[in-house]
Amino acid sequence: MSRKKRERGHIRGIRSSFTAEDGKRGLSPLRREYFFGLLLRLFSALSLGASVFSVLFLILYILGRGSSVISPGFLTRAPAGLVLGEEGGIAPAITGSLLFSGTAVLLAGIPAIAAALYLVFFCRSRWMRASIRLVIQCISGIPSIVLGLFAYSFLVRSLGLGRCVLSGGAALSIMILPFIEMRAEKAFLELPQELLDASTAMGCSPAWTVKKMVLPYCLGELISALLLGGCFAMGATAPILFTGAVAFSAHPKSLLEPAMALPLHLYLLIAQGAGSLRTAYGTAFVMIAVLLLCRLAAAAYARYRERRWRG
Amino acid sequence: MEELERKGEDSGEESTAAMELRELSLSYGRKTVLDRISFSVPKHKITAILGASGCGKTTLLKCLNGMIRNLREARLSGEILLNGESASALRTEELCRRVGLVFQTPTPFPMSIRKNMCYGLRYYGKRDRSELMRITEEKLRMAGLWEEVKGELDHSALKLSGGQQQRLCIARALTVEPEVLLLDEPCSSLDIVSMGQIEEMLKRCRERYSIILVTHNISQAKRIADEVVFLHQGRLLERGERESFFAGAKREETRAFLQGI
Amino acid sequence: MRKMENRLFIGCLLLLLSLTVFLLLFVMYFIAREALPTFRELSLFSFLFGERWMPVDLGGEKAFGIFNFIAATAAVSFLALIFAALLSIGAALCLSCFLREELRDFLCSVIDILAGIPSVIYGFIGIELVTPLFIRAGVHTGSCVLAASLVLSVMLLPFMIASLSESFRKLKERYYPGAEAMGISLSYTVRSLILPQAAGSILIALILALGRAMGETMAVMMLVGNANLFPRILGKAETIASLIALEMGSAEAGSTHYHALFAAGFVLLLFLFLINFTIGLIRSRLPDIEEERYL
Repeated sequence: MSRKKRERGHIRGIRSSFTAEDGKRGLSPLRREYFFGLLLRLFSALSLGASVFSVLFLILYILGRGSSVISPGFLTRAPAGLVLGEEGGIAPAITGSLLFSGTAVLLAGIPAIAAALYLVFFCRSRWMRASIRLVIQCISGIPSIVLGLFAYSFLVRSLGLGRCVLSGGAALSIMILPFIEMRAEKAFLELPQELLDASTAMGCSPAWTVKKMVLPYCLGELISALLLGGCFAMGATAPILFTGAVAFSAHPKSLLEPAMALPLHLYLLIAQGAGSLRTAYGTAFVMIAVLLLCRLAAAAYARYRERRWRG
Repeated sequence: MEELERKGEDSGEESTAAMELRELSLSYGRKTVLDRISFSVPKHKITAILGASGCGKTTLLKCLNGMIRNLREARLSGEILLNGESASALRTEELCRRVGLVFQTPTPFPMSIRKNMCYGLRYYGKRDRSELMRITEEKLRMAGLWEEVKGELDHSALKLSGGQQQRLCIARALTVEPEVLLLDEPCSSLDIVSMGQIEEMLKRCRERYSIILVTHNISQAKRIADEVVFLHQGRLLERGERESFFAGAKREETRAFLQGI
Repeated sequence: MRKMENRLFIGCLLLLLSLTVFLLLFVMYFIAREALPTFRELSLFSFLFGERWMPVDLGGEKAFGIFNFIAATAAVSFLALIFAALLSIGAALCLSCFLREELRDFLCSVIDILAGIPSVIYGFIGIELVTPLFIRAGVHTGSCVLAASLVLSVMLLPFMIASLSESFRKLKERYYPGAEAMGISLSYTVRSLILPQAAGSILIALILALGRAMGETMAVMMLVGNANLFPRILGKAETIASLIALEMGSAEAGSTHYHALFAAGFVLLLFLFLINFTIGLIRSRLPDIEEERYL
C-alpha cells in the first residue's frame, strides 16, 4: 500500500472519530493499526531471532565440533603428517598469530590513540577535523587484500624486508588503525565536558589534563579497543597472505622471520580436503576461543573499573 | 548606570578590592551576553551575584577565571583587575590558578579522594608526600570533610554523596591557593542539609579567600552574602551591601526579582 | 616548564596524526604507481571491459580483461546487501524499540561477537554447511554466487545492526515520548516517524556495508568457485579480491600480470573511495550532531 494512501486513510479515521457518538465512546485506534503493529513486531522479532540464532549456532557448532580435537598435544606440537597438518598440533601458528597481532597493535595503537586525542581535544578547525575523519574513514574502507598488496610491494620488495612478521604486522596495523581510532574517539567524546572544565579551572594545562585524567578515565575503553583490534588482526588472512605468513615454519625467533598464522593455517587445512578436516575444526576452535576470551576479558575489565570508580 | 560607576569609584576600594571589573563586555558573534559590567569585589568578603537563569552569570564567572578565552567565538572587551594587576597580562593558566572556579554540578575526578586533592598540586610540581598530605588534610578540614573521609582517602571520589562531592570539589579548588574563589550555584543540585554545610564552610573560608557566589536563591544570598550584585539580561542593574540591597532595591526589575515575580 | 611540556605533547600528537594521514596518501600513491605500467601494454578500455583474463602464455594470446571480475564483485555484494538489509532493519528495530534495556544490551553484545569472527571461519562454515545444501539442490560442487552472498550477508549483519539500532534508538528517544503522551502506539510511531526519519542513516549503513562486502576476500573466495565467468546466481564467478589473493603469489614481479593485479586492486580502491565520498555527501545533508570537547 502506498504511503500517501495510508496517510489519507489515517486522516479519515481521525475525522470520523470526531463525531458526537465517538466523543462518548472515546477515540480508539483503527483496527488496521493493530494489524500492522503486530506485523511489524512479528517481522522484527523474527529477524532478530534469526540473527541471534546464527551467532549462537556458528559459535556452538565450531566449539562443539572442535572440542574433541583439542588436547595438550594439539596446542603444543608442530603440524605433522604425510599431508602436513593432518596430524600434530598448531603451536607455531599460535605463537605466529600472537606475534603478528602484537606487532600490529603496537604499530597501530600509538598513532591511533594520538590521532583520536588530537581530533577530540586539540583540533580547533572544523574543516581540518572533518577532512581527517574522512581520511581515516577511507583507510577503514581499504579492502584488506589491497593492504596486503601494498605491504607486499612496498615493505617486502621495495624496502627489502622480505616476507616476515614485521611486514605482515605492518599491513595488519594499517587495517586496525581506523578501528582503534574510532573506538578511542568515541570513548573520549563520552567524557563529560564538566570534568575537563574543572581541570582547566584549576589552571592545569591541556597536556596535563589528558595525561592525568582523560587517559586514566578512558583506560578501560582504550584497552578493550586495543584488545579487540588485536583479535581483528589475528583473524585476518588477506593482509598477511604474501607478506609474512607461510604454510610451515618453526617458532619464529625474531620479527624479521616469516611465521605461521592461525587463519592461513586453517585456510590451507580446508584446501587440503577431507583428511585434515579434524585439525581444521581444532584450529577454528582455538581461534573462536581466543576471540571469546578476549571479549570476556575486555568486558570484565570494564565492569571492574565501573565497580571501582562508579560504585 | 553612570551613577553606579561613579559610586564604585567614589568609595575608593582600589586597595581593598580583590578583583575589579571595568566595562566588561562579552559577545558571541552578534549576540551580546555581557554588557559593560563594572563592579569591584572586596577582599575577604562574600559577593553574591543574583539574577534569573540565562542572565549571563555563569559566563561572567568564566570571564573572571579566564576560561572564556578557550572559546574562539567569544569576544571580550573591557578590563579585569586582579589585586590591582591587569588580568589580560596574565596567561590563562596563571589566571585560572589565581581565580578558582567551582561548577554547579559536582565534578569529582574519577579517581580516589587523595588523587583528587593532589591533582593540581602535582601539576604545580609538589612531590613531597608529607607536604601533599598536609595540604590535603588542611583543605579537607577547611571544607569540613576531613572527619567524614579521613579513613577512606583511597576510595573513589565518585562514591561520595552529592554534598560531599561538592565540598571535595571546593577543597580541591583551594589546594592550588587561589586568591579569589568563584562558585557557580554550588548548591543548586543539593539537599538542604548539604546546602547548610556548604554555607557554613564558605563563611569559614571568607577569612582567607575572597569569594564570589553566583546564585538564584535569594534566601541564600540573604544568609551569607556581604555584598550583592544584581544582573539582568547581561547588564549590571544594581549593587550594594547586603542590608541596603535587600532593604531598598531601587530598580523595578530588582524588586520584581526579589519578590519572585 | 609545564608550558614546554604542553607544547611538546601537542607537537607529538600532531606529528603522529600527520603520520597517519600521510600513510593513507602513501598507500594510494603506491598502489597507483604499481598499477600504471599495466597501461603501457594494454588500453584502459580493454582492461576494464575485456572478458578474457589469460595472464600466462599457454599457447594462446595473453589477455587482461577484468570485466567479469567487476561484475562478480558487484553481484555478490549486492545480493548479500539485500539479504542483510532485510534482516538487519528488522533486528535493529526489535533491539532498539521493542526490547527492554538489559535484554537489548545483552543481545547487542551477542551479535557484536559475529563482527569479530574471522572471515576464514565464515568460509569454512560455508564450505561445511552451505555448499552441501547447494549440491543437494543440484548445483555442481555447490560453489556459486548465491552461496557466497548468503554467507557474506551474515558477515555484514553485525555492522549494520549496530549502526542502525543506534540511530533508531536516538530517534525513539527523541520522538516517542511526545507520541506516547498522545496515546499513539509504539509500532505506529515506528512506521510513521522513526523509519522515515531514519532513511538517511539506513542509506549510510547500506553503503558502508556495500563497501565492506566488496572488499571481503577469504570467505567469498572459498565459496564463489573462482572461475572467470559472467556471474549467474547459481553459477561460479570470481571477485576482484579473490583474483588478487589467488594470483599474487604466482605473478612474476614486474611482469604485466603483476601490474595488472595492482590495477585491479586500484579499481577496487576507487570504488571504495567513491563509496566513502557518497557517504560524506549524504552525511553533510543530514542534521549535524557534531560533538566537540574544549580544553
